[in-house]
Amino acid sequence: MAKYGGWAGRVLHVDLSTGHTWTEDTVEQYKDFLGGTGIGYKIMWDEIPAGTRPHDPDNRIIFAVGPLAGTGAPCNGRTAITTLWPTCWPQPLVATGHMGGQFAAKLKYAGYDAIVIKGKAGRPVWLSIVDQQVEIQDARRLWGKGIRETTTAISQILGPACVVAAIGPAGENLVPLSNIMNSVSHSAGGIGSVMGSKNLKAIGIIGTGSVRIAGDRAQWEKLIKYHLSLLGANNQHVVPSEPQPWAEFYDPNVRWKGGKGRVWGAAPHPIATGTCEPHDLNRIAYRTNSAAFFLGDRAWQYTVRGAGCTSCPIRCHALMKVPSVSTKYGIPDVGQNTCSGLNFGRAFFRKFPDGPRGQTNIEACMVGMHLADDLGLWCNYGQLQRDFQKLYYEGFIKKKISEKEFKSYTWDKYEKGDPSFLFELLPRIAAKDGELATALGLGTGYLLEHWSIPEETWSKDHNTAYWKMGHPKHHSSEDAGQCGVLINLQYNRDAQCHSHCNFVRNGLPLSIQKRLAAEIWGSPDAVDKAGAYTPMHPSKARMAKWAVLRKELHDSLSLCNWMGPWIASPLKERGYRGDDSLESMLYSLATGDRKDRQELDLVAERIFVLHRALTIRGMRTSAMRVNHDLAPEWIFEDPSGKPAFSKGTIRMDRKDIRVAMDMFYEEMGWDRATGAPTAKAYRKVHLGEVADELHRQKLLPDA
Amino acid sequence: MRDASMKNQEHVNPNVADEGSAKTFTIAALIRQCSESGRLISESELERQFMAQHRAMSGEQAVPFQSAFARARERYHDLHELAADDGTRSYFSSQNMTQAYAVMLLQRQGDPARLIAEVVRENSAAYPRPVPLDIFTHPPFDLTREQVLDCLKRMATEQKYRDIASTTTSAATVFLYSTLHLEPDHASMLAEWLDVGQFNNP
Repeated sequence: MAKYGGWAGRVLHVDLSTGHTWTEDTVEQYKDFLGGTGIGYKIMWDEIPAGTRPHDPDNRIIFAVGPLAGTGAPCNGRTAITTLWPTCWPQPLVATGHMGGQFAAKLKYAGYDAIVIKGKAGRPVWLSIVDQQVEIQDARRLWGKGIRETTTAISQILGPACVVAAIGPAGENLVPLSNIMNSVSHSAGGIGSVMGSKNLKAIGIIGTGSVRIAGDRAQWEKLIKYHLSLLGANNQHVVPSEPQPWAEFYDPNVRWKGGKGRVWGAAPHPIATGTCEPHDLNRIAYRTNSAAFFLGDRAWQYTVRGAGCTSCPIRCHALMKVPSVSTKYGIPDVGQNTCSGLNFGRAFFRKFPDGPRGQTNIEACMVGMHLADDLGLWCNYGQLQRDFQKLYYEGFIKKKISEKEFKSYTWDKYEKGDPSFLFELLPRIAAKDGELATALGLGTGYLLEHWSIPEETWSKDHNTAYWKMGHPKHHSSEDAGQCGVLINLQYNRDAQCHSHCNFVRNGLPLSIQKRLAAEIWGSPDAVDKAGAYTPMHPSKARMAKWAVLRKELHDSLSLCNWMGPWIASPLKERGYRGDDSLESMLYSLATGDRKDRQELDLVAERIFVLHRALTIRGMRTSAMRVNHDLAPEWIFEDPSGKPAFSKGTIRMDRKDIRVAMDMFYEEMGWDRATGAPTAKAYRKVHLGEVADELHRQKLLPDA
Repeated sequence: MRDASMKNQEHVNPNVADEGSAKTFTIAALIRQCSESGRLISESELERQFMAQHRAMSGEQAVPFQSAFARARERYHDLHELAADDGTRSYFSSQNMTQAYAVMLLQRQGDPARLIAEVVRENSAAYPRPVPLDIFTHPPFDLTREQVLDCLKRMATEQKYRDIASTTTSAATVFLYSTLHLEPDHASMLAEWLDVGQFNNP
């Protein structure tokens, strides 16, 4: 192991049934899969018996980070959590959740690249990791507590330098829509109940070590500065939202909200962000304000600062102080989160008394964060809230639950947009209290099945944003036409891929995006005007392949796919180019295992293909094209009847999407008829043993 | 209030051993300072500031501003001139300000209706996208909402602005676009996505 830097060197195994813990060498066992999702998929492939269910003791939950976690590489705070996914419908399959925060770095500093947990403890426990000292501790007094109280209690035991990842009552009660959270606001959804099923309340870590960088120190520092110089704001948006003196371009819709005249109004001493000139690398954190992006200009007055993960200058979590919520709702006046976590509360409501950007909207966010982040609820990327709206306004709830239960909710509060309604709903979901709350907590697929609602009622409705298998779209046709569709076909939950949308939403004019696209994917036709799509083109398939490989690469190295890739930059002198080789440069210098971009992409492809193999084995069919790679009906329709490829619609054309799938499978070297990797495709990425096993199970397309 | 804005790049003081070079450097520095703070500087203001600074330093009353100014522009290629419709000339430094931003500032000094129209056309053509009305109430435009609405009222009656159209989203936000570059359905769809859709599916 000493040969390589980057990796901590050990994978920690914990069997909660026996209380036994042991380690194995990371590099010997998993170097070819890097870390993160790569380690997760490999262990799932090697160890999970067929027919295992998510809450079975035999299921594994794998917390894995990559060789860049805990280094100085920007945006390296991601922990990938791999398991059988409880909300994947109609059958659980492998999937991953991802949390930022400080967990990834602390795990490395304690000397581990991953924790693999199996079995089920006889009573509630928490896992204490203090460097090499691993102990399974009694958690009976923590069971039933919220995430905040649990975090505080364990922090009092381990000390202020620890990180705690915990589940709340939702996970304990085996609510499928539950999460695990570390560092106050950094959560991974969908897996709280898997921890709960193992009677595992939390993991607390103290790590006092460090990560060795194999390469030359000066070169490493130069590379980090180079990487920093290419950063934009949240989601790698590379232009400011308002014109700034230094900027050639701006885009009101980007997440780079800092600029002249903008002030963090709730900081102890209000702080002006300044113009955020991109060459000033010490001021990157002033660019992003997620609260202002999601909640409107009013949020500036409530902004204390940005918050975020280890070694990430972007600070995408907004720390807000809203005094009115203490008096109105009796909750703390501070809260922090981003994206779906920030929007958790307000997204339940169709309207607010003071409009969509008013004060109530902000208060609903504060109430939602306060409740959900303590109860450990997951929103399924906003699907919980969209489901709730549709179920209520289309009369399903009234029909499906008893009159007595229906009357136990104050629906006029809900309709008026009163955030206090969340106190009625969210704790009941976490407690499985009643038919409605229990059904909502199942996740969309199982909810629809439970209430005998045909899936097509959701999949034909644009407004649900429902995609397939119980999960919503995640940047599909609205973001990059066919490329977005192709990406959303691949996964067993929402796709969580940002490689493509971070490029098309980066704020640069279309002409520059097309120039960069031509350099990266071989043709300017890879990208279209938003809402004015052109027919499928081979470069779009290349872009889709690149996007999923970058996602898997980031998830395995512990880089943040919400912030990268960094193929565009805010730098005029570079023609707004980023650098598509950053990942391989960082990997090579950190580990000492020199790989160029193409060589590292091959590893990413191996990881992605292994995910495909796990899906094929789990579904017991290689006919992915007709059984798995499914798009919802709504993408082939337009609410106003506009035809595909006309201006002003994201409607896709069925025949064109079939062509897109052909091109994508071809790009991957997969079988076009089934959409499954061929034996040759497995062997190309050195997964010959996987091909052999699938061959034995008659799950190869050419078998 | 603390200002977190960066101190822009250091300007290397050239060889200012001779008095002429010192004068040209002073002129360049004045323009650069204005650009750094997001302002254009007019020729008359530049002359006034230069004279005041020079008198304070040297005690001389008669200062050959025009010749020093001409030399500065010849020597420092980051200094640029913009002329308004009325012939008034303003200056900026491309070290600290882009041409695009400088043009916006110049347009703001003139007719705000023209400014709105040019910004809307540029956004509709280059990205393409409609722009929310609100952007004109923030820097560098800094118009009041009433000014914006007055402009729109006037623009609706003038032939030269007949391509400027509006669309309103389901969240009641008004967006503007140019029909020269965006079709109405396309503009409406984009506005709805930008104002509502992207936040429901972030």
